Amino acid sequence: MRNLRLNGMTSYCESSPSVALSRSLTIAETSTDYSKSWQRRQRHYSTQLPPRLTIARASRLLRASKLTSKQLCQHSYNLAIFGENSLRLNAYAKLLSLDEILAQAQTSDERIQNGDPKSDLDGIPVTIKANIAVGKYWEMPNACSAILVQGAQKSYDTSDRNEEERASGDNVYESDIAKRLLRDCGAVVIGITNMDEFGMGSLGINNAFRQDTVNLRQQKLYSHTYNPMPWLHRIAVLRNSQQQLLTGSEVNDDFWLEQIINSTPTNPHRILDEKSLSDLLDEVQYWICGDNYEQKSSRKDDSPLLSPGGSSSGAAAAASHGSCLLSIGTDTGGSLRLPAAWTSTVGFKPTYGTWSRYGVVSYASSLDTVGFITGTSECAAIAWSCLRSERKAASPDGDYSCWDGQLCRDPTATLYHKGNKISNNDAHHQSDTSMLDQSSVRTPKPLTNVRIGIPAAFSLEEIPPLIASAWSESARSLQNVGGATLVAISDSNLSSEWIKMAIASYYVLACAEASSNLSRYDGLRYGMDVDLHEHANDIDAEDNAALHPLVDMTTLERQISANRAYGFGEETQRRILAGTSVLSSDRFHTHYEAAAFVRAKISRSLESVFRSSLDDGQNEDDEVDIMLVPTALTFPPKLNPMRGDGVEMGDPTAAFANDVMTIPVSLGGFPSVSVPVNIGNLDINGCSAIGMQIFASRGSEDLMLRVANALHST
Amino acid sequence: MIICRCRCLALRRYCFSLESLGSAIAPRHRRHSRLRRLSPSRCYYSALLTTAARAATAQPISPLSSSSSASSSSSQSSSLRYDRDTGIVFLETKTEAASASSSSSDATRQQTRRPLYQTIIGIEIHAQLDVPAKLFSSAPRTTTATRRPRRRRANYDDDASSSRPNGSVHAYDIAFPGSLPAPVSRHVVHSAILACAVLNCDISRVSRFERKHYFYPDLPSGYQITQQRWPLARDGMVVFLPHRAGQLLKKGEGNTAKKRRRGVGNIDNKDVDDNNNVNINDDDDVSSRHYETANVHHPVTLRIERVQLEQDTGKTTTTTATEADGTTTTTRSYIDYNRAGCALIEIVSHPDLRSANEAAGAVERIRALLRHVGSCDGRMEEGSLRCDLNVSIAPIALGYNDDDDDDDDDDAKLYLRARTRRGEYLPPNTGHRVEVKNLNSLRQIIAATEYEALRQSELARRDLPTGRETRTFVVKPTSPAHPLGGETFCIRAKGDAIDYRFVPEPDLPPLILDKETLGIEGKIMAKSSSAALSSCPIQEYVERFMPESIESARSRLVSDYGLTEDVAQVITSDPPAIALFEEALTFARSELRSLNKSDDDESQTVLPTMVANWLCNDLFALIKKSAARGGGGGETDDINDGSNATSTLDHPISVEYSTMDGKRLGALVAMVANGMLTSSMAKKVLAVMFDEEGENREGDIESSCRYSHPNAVAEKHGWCVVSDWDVLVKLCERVVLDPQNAAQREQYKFGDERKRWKINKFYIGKVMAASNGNAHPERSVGFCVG
Repeated sequence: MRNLRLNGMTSYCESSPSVALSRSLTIAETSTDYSKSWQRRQRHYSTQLPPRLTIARASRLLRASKLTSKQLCQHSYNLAIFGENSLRLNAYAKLLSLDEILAQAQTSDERIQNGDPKSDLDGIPVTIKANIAVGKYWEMPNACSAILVQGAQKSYDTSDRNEEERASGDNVYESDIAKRLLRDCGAVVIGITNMDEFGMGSLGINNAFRQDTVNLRQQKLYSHTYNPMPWLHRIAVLRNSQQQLLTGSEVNDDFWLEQIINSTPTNPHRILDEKSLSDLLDEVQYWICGDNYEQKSSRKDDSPLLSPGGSSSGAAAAASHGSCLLSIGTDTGGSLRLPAAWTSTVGFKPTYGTWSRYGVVSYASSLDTVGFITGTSECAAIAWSCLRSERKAASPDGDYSCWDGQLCRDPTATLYHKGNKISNNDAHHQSDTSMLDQSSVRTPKPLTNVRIGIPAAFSLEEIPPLIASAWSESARSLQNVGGATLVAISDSNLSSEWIKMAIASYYVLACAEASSNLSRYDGLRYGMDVDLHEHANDIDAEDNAALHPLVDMTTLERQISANRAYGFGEETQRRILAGTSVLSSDRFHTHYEAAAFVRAKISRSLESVFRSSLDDGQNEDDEVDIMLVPTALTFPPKLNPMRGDGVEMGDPTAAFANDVMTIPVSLGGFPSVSVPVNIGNLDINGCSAIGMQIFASRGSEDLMLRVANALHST
Repeated sequence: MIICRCRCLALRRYCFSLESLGSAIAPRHRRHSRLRRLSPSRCYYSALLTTAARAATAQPISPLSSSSSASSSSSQSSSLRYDRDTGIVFLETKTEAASASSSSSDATRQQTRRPLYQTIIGIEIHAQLDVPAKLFSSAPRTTTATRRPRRRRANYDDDASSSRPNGSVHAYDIAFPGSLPAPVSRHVVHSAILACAVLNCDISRVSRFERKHYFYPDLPSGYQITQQRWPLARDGMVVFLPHRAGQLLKKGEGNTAKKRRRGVGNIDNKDVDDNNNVNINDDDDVSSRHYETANVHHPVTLRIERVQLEQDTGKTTTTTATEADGTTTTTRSYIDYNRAGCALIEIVSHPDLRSANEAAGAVERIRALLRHVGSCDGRMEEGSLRCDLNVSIAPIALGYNDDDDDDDDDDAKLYLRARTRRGEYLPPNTGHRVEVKNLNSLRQIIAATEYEALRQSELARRDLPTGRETRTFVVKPTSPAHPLGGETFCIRAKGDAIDYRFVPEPDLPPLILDKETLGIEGKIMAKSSSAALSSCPIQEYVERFMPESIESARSRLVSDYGLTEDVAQVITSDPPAIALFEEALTFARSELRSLNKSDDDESQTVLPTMVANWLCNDLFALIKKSAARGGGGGETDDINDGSNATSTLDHPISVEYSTMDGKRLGALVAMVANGMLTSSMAKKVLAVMFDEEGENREGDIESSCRYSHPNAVAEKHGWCVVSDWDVLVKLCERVVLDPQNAAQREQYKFGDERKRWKINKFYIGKVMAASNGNAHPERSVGFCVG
């Protein structure tokens, strides 16, 4: 029962076999309840995943000239093509052409050969979520997965470009984070990942329709993003059968070099048994496209298709599948951490405002946070150290030239960062040089003096026993292996009363801000332009009820209404209406202000539990550095495109509950990371790991990642 | 022609009382030293309402018409009139029959005026801040009109590319997905703080931005960023004189008249409580004089409720097509986002105004103040300063004769009493405030007020109270009933009120006016002692950057330089002119001193006046001419005659719109004082220098050396006073001995004194002509005679 996803075994497991043993016992007990349906397919699955390449290893190989960025990116491209065309993951809203990718990789290779790489991320294949503007690559039709935004880039480029921008040569509209990642760090972007429309949704099923589909039914079919985990398990089985069971020592540099150099778009995983590969792909085809579906009449429960979580569904799928080593996304209420938990990846959200939101399509401005998903927590630490920038003060001195030129064009970016700017930078400089080598150096007790809180307030009744046990297991291993001090945070210190109100508060605030932020999509300046005459028949035919009120309006109002009615997806419209409602004058005080009050309460009560950075020496009994809670209380739901969405659609708010553990952290703007913890066995839906969420006080990302690394390694 | 122009100062002395409603009683010449204390609880409108209702049933009232009167019988006609000075709506009844029996000359037609309603007016002013960039983006701020290059700040606002439609648009200005606002720049902070300070507001240390939502194409993001619950400043106050058409202010007027503060607050209550009356003036004579000259002379206090920062919207231009059946339809709308996102301050007043002229005067004053501190260029016709009016009417109370004090009522008193009342005491269901949006000149303000007063009065008389609504003002006359143009049309009634869904702006931190934001960190602390005293950075900032007030500048010019009040008034009305005047004077002095003309007496006394005259008479005349030339006429504005900066021109009359700087003007005046130029030459030189800017549009505007020195201009055109004796003698000899002029010479020899004088003049003229006007006339005289 060892986790072989990582590059090599960890010393921790070997040093404390009792932990591993007790864990496997626990899991054996709980797993007896599982339904029979899984057992029918048991032979196909393995608790292992194919090994994942880490940024550290890739970067080391690149610098050692054993591998070129072009080869690496070619491999990533192969994986992405395989994922899209064969596994039908639908992770990418747009995959760049091979030429575009290789051109970027070429410049990276030149830099590395000259011994002057920009950062550890130079030459590393990455992806970016569709709501983040990526310069010239962002003119793709599915920008932000929303039809209303389609064509936005075009209008910006042609008519409204500013003179000074033209003069500076930066003709494209690019987000600050993309600029940082691609220009300053030298990463190679291979694609734009899919997402729930405007980041609204927790399941990856609210994606905008693809443009190349013909009818509505087909649009629904192809628009979901699927979790790669079930297929990765199957692939691991295939590989294990062809090679001997991989042990830690075998997953070394040579293994990866062989893997990367020999990869092809049709078989990037190096499955030698062509028959079983085609069987696998047939099965994918069967479940997703439903050829001869009616005859076989499979039940929905049998579907191996899982939701990857949302809204950064594509980012999680790509990172999990391995087609990129780093996937930039955004987190509003858990949009990075929930998908990470469900795809066995690491989802990282820094303190609110750490990375500029400029160029990131706004959903709920006061909650949106740019973050990323990586394969391992070690990768997360490297990405964090590379992407964090020395934060320039964002106060324009009279003229705006510094404002437009500097990295951070987000006026809210300094909100939480005024106090701890200096200490951050110091820590940054120390850790920067040694980041690549850290993986090899193991200190015996890395978490001495770290106080880890287990808040009772997050211990809800609904937690499944499997997750509850994994929670206590993780805590214990951090204590035993890492040397951390566990502190139980009682309900009196952190009241569960407020935590329980967090979801309600979040959905009021997020919807309110969304209704405001999305009011710019009227289709008049950019995006969709519904032809009223063309749709006149539709109005009569099917959408009669929806569009009937248009009759009394002026042409302009009719046009805007039609654009928004056709352009926005169902979930988006629902949230806009909810937000409009809570902002109306008769509900503002009862709903919005109450929600803001709850938010402040939660934020303050969480803050009070954290030890302030000033009194390092004194360990007060009830103050902690880190808190540990599960990321999600649910397992990824099954999807079955042939039978609706596979999700109970009766109550659209049911999906909101997936975010119950992540939302309180988001409301307070705290940094948070979700780390996969192996539960050693397949759960009911075919997942071998769940996510544990680690969050810390604002600005303590370094410590948080250290703990995450320790937990991930156990 | 102008229906309600109040020519009838005499009529003000007529009194009205409830018993004698509808019939005139003899004029009374009384002194009014006291006004009765008004208690809010007294329901003095109820009586009137019943009367009005009775009147409404008694005689049919025509639809709103102000010039043509509705007649109930052949001999009697009544119509509503609005007095722009007092803000009172009268019911004017003319009885023709009475005229026959009357022997009095002024009563051939008997006229009775019954005051019915008082207008209550509040204003909202949107002033675009004169800052280089937009409020939340780096796109340069532009205005639509073509501008002459301005002497200052020319480096940013004359960018040709940015002035074309949608040429000055940042991603944020069209709400591009993902774009974020930039924090408020120091230019905006500077401009806004000075504006608030000059309006005597309490400036908040922390103000917050909010979003106000509504859908309209010229609002790209679907919301406007504004300040609602936490505005930039509150509780200001402006003292102004009501607008008077075609009259210049008398000098010193503002100082002698006692200021009255009205409205709420301690001042009022104190006045009333201490003396049990509203104290107008202790001196009865002064008081009654004020009555006679009507209230226009009184400075009026307008309380400012709030000043807030907000974004401007884009500009929509529609093309319309006229169908065969005469209906017009909008075929196409074009939106220019250059204006979208520009920084505005919205100034919201309390409903303290009572008449159309007061409203215009308040706007005029606020515009002058904003221009003075440089916050706003105040070009109403371009929309950089726009005004919304909130007009409502309150019935005038006539029924307090139950009191022991018998009949003190007259117009002036009604007016004054109305001043002491506030909007809250309005009767229910009457006089809901009506908002008239986007008024672009003082004339429109007056016209709109008048229209609304009459419209609402008419409706109220018919017992059809107006609801709260928003109306728009149409400039072009649509019916002969309104020759001024300017009817208002409803665009939104109460039921359609938009729910603006205010929400705190999540993309922007609050605007905190601390030392860092103000940019005064360390600078002041080091140098001055006053800084140590005031711990408040805002106060420090205002003290440091607030320019001299208009009044103190004027008195300083008078006392320091010996200018007359009139000239000082002209100079101070244009703030840059003050600096230009002083610069020119300094330069002229140093110029003269360098030429060893050390007659200090002259330079102390005469020179300032000379400079001032050149500035006020000649330079301003040129600027005015150029402004009118560029403007192509525009609407001729009879109301604006009295204002010193006419709003119908291409640009305001300001030295900012000429390339003349103090040095060049100073040099010119010095040359005149020196005798190097005659004044007629100097005028030509000035004109040449003034026109140069047009030729030199392109190129570096910054470098003042590009503009030629007056000396060079004079030389180039050959204008140079010939004061050299020898040259003059020769010139004169030539002229005098010229055979063509032999006849005159003979006449001179034998003529009498008068004849000689004439011939003398003739010779001088000839000499001037011969020298191309360059001869020094006074000196030539001597030679010719010789």
